[in-house]
Amino acid sequence: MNEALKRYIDELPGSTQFDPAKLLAHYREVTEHVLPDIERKQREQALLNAEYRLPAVIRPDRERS
Amino acid sequence: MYEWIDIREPADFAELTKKLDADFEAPRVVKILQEGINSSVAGVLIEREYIDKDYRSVFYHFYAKMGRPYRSDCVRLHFFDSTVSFNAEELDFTCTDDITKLSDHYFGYMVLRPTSAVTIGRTALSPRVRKDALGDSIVSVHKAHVLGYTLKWNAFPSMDQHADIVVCAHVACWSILRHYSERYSQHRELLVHDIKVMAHAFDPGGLAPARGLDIYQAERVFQAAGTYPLVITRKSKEAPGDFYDQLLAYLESGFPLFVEMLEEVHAIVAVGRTWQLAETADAAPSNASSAWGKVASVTVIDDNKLPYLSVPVRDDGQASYSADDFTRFIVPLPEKIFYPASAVASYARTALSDMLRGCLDMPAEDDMVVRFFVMTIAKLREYARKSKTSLPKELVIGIMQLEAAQFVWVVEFASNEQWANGQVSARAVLDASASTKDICPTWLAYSAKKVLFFDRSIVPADAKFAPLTSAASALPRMEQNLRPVAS
Repeated sequence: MNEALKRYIDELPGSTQFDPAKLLAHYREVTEHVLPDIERKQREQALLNAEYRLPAVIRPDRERS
Repeated sequence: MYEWIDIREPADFAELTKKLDADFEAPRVVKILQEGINSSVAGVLIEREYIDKDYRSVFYHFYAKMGRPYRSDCVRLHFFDSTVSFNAEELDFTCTDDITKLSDHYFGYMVLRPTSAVTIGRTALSPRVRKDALGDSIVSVHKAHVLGYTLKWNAFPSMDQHADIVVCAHVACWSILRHYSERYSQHRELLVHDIKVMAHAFDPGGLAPARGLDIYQAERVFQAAGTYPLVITRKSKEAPGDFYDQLLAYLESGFPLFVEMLEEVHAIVAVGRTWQLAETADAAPSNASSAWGKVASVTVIDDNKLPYLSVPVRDDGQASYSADDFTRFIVPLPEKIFYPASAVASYARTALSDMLRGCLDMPAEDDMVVRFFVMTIAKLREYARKSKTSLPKELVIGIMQLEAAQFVWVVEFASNEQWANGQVSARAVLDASASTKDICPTWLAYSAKKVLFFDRSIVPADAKFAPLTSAASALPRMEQNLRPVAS
């Protein structure tokens, strides 16, 4: 955050530091659930895209395995 | 060279069959115009011997090599409203309005190719003249020089596929890339032949292009054109996951989408959407927190039809296909969007909304509609500037000073009641250039009376909270990237 905005927010009447405990809980939620979910979806999407890229002839082999 | 037709009723388009040579397949064109053009059009100017760059690009590389002689010239049809008429002796327009405002009475043009079949070439028609066009659409300003006048109007490019040398997928790529070159100065204009060649590592020549493209050849076209395409595949019709959320998010960001329909063996371009009317909205949409549940139809450019076709979300027994038939799409992104829509969907619906619920005015968890789209920080500042009477002053000043990336994701949270009234409870602005590993992609979040600024220059980001001086209890929904088709 740039200094001008930081100063501006600090000078706003009623401005406060956001509750550090809430912020920490938020980051824990992101780390434990959101990031793994994003990664899982990216992996799934890559697999879905890759499946379409495969020539149809190799599909029986894939199914056997 | 120039001839005028008065259009008092759809049957008057039939005059074209008398005035155009057989090469231009006038009967089919007339039928399409009669079925698809509304009563706004009151006059058509026929411009003969028109040299069309897109047709010429295919003519030089294909039609000129054929035994049957093909003409090199085209016909261009210009569409006007009832204020305009034509003085054939002076080759000039007359207008009951100020003639310097001729652009306000012009609806665009349609080029006809002399190929005797599927003859509708480069077309840039205003959505205002399309019968049954609904909702909001991506458009850009087009320019035409006609009889010494420079006319400007909003449109999205379209054309018929040639069928014998390029097919629907080439035309879908062309439409998107022509929109980009008209809209963004960094994109150069690419002609139909260029698109045909760009799909392959080499020029396949002959009729090979007419056998069609697969989606990765279309992806290659967008890469070669300087965009950063992202391919999104639907898992299945029964379990689409957040496929449609992503589709809506990119569409509402103003990116036209190359859409593949595998079962239909067809490719189209998605350019807009229509929200459901409040009274017809689903009582219990499949995903209660998805803005997709509020969509009634998707506006598409289909090379078999006139542009701005409304495609229902689900099969209604009348349309030839629905959004249920969409299997994959390509979004040709600019370079600096690293945080994908799928990540926004995960973050916004869980951790972000949970945190904001504790500090901003947020809808209840079981009554929440989440919508998200990309915009530039410049557009966000423009919005803040224009909304300075409705947005709290502290927020406007904060947005002006925000140190942000070029592109931001805007996430809106609304209750169903607010949604029906075009309002939202809260809005968050995320960094579209964030890494998907970033635990705090948020720059700021606000509701009518409170704002939360994140300091992302430190890790983990710190946040500051401030009350806002606003009398309003909700914010207006942001409609920035698409234009109402009726305007």
